[in-house]
Amino acid sequence: MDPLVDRFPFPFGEKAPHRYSNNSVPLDPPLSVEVTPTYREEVELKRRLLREVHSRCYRSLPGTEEAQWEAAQLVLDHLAGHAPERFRLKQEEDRRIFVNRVMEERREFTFRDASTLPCEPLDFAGRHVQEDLILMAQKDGELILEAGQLCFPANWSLAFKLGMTFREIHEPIPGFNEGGLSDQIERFLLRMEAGRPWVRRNWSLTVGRHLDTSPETIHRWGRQKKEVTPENAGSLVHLRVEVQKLFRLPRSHAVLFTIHTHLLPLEKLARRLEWLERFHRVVTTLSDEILKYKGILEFHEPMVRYLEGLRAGGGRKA
Amino acid sequence: MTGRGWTESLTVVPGRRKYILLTDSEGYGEIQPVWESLNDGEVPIELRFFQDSPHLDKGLEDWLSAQKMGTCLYIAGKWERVKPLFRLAERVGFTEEEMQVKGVGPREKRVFCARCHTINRAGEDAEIPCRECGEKLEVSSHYSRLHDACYGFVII
Repeated sequence: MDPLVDRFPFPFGEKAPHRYSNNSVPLDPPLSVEVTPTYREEVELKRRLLREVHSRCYRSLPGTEEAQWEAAQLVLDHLAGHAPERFRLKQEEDRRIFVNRVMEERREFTFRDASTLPCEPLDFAGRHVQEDLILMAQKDGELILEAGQLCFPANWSLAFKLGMTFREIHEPIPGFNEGGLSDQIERFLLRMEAGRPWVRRNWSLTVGRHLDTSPETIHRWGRQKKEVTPENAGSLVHLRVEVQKLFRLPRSHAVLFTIHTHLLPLEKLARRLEWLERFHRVVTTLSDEILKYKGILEFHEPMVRYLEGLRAGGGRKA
Repeated sequence: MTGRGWTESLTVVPGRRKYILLTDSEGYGEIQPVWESLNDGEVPIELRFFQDSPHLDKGLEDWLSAQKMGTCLYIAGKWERVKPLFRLAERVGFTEEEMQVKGVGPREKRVFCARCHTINRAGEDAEIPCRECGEKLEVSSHYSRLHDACYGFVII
């Protein structure tokens, strides 16, 4: 038994080979955040990044204030509901008192009064959760990325994508616009209703245990890809899963994405033989185009040799 | 550059209450067929030439902002002139459905460095060094209207 393995949101089902699809399912329980044993470590890392490279990790456009307050209220409320022994949100009309016992902090502020917070509301809420927070405004039948706190990106730039529509954001994904998929997902998001949140899982691979795989630091973490061998792939290569939860905010009509990133080294993944088999099937059936887009191409061959060695040995190195 | 408002070739859209055609000498070849097709003496149509950067032309901004709803705007000319003109038209209230913009001639590409966010100027090269951080960038077609630039992936 390994708690990291036990709670890992393994993304691959029994049958489906990898393909892009609208894989959202209703979120139950309807909570936007989750607190895991690595809470303190991850929140401290987020705060360090926000301190050192704020403009990379936080962006907002004018006019997002209402949606930000709604998002902050929802996130802090869920945090207190999820782990009431560690977090508390007291509300009296517009007055709020938020207590974070893990970080030993207490903050009193007035709802919709930005001067009572040390930073913007979305930025404030994001400093208390492991999740990245992305706000998409809905205008003229389109979703537009208008604000976000993004500390743990899977190699995408908030600074660059700010202001883009849903379609523009996903334009680089190979095959995303084929077969009406982008239309289908966009329609789904546009029709989302308040009070009926959804969840989906998105995966990629990371070399090294790095939550911060931003394009701004790829010169550091990206070069490790060339170091992967069949001997070290088990400890170096990590399956990276983002649990993305989607909420419609009733007043602003914006959509909030909370993104919780989980990492699991392949040597731990392989302890479950069915996971090893499914993972092997997925990574050996991807097109070169997808391997390149996902940044796997550079270490695909040594990784697959490692997996095949394990399979030959029934989950242990042959 | 493609996207809403920007077009590979101007197309005639009949049935609007008024047409405005803006061009420079380089873009006139694109505008002329539109002018000839729409100039039937029934619908108001105006043709204006521009040469300088529209940043400097306050009269043009005032004139465009005074136009009524239903006016259809065509712009054609050198890339460096039509890009600010497009933004000016957006600023005064033209929607991307109400205008067509065509850039003519060689085009300078702006490339956003994924590492340091510097905007680099590039020609048609597939790879360029970032002038600020020196990283080698792969110039993509992923375009941001906010930055008016394409994404430059760091090559590792």
